[in-house]
Amino acid sequence: MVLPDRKVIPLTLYLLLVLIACIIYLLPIPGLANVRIDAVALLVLYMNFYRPVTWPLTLGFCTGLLQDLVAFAPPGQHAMGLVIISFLAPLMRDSLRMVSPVKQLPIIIGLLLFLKFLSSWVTALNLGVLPSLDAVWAVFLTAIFWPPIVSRFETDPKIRRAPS
Amino acid sequence: MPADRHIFREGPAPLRGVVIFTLLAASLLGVNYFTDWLDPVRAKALDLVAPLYHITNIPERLRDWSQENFASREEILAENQTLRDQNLILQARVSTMASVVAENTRLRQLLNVAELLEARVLIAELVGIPPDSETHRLILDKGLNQELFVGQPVLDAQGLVGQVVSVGEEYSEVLLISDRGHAVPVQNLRNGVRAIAEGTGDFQRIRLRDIPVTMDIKVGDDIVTSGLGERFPKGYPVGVVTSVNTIEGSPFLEVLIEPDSNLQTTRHMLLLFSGWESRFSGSVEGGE
Repeated sequence: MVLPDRKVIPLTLYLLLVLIACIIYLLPIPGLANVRIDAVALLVLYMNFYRPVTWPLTLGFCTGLLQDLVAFAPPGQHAMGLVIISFLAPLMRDSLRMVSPVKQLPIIIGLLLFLKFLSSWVTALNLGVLPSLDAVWAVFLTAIFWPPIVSRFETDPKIRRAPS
Repeated sequence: MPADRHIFREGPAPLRGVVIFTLLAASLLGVNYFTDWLDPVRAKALDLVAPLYHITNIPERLRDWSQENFASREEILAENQTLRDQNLILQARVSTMASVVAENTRLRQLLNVAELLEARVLIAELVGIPPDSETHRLILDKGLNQELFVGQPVLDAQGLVGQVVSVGEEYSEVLLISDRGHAVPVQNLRNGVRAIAEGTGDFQRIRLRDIPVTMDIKVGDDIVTSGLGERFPKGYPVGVVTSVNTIEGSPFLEVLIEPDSNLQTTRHMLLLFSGWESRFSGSVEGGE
């Protein structure tokens, strides 16, 4: 089944959203210094699922590089993950959009865990260490924001509850 | 706006595209790991990105501001009294220190040892902490404009914090002594035994590397910088030995020390200049 085309978003608006996502990503959480909300990953996932793009891989790669720059991470660390996510997400787009945002959570958590795994793999190669549990907490904390974001911005009638 | 000006539209993502971009990302990682070609970019990025860290500090600054401005009179008086008490203690220590310094100078002259350099310091403020939980780094609000250099030691009031690893025009990046990639030559203050202290990825623990089981080292020993390698000046506090364990079948001890410096809470740090910075100025990239 092919869902209707989505409204397109200008590049400038996307860049502004990336900037806001980066700031959220950098915000330290009181009491959880090592856990950050990966708003950039959420943004890329949202765009891939709900605002299909012409060059998803290019956009994922460039967004990832920007995230690397902002986080002072090795260049390519986040870019690699976001490229693969940008490839995988469209493959499951139609099936994901047919269910409610809460029911989408397992897939979103799976994709975020995959991203974190790739990122940790790079860290492991660089430093020779395995990641701490903080990485998993960060994924769950990030995923919590998925349903409210989708519910707020998604207007697809197919996933809207019919009035009783 | 014409449709082709938009970047967001339905479209397939070819597998070869994934392979190309993944290889590109892997190449960048490889270049960054095996060469220092990207260091100038990193130094430039500091100045571009650090303002974002200022924005992320706003909630904390607001909290500090409200605490300062809405503190009760009793709290201010109590803090004032504490500071007076501390001042008295420090004055007493300084007065005894003067005689120790004089004696130290005399003994050095007797031994014909070069005088320790009087270090010039610069106070820097923490701008932000990069979000990667596996690396321990900080961004400071001083850079090339304040003559910072790569390899510069960073201290807080209690001890060694780390060293500068990247310098932009206005900002610099500091690698903490607790980072897994950091190592510092140290010595035991009690008996002068030398070792290498390396980060463990835990803010509360640093490991002493390759300590033979026959080595004289005890819990409670103070560990200071040894000055070997000439990256860190001699005699600055690093930490206190908290555990000494033998490992079955290993000729080495597992020695853990707790850093003296407040690596997770300190906001103001001292950058040390002591005359040997020119040796590293050649490795400062991206700015001058």
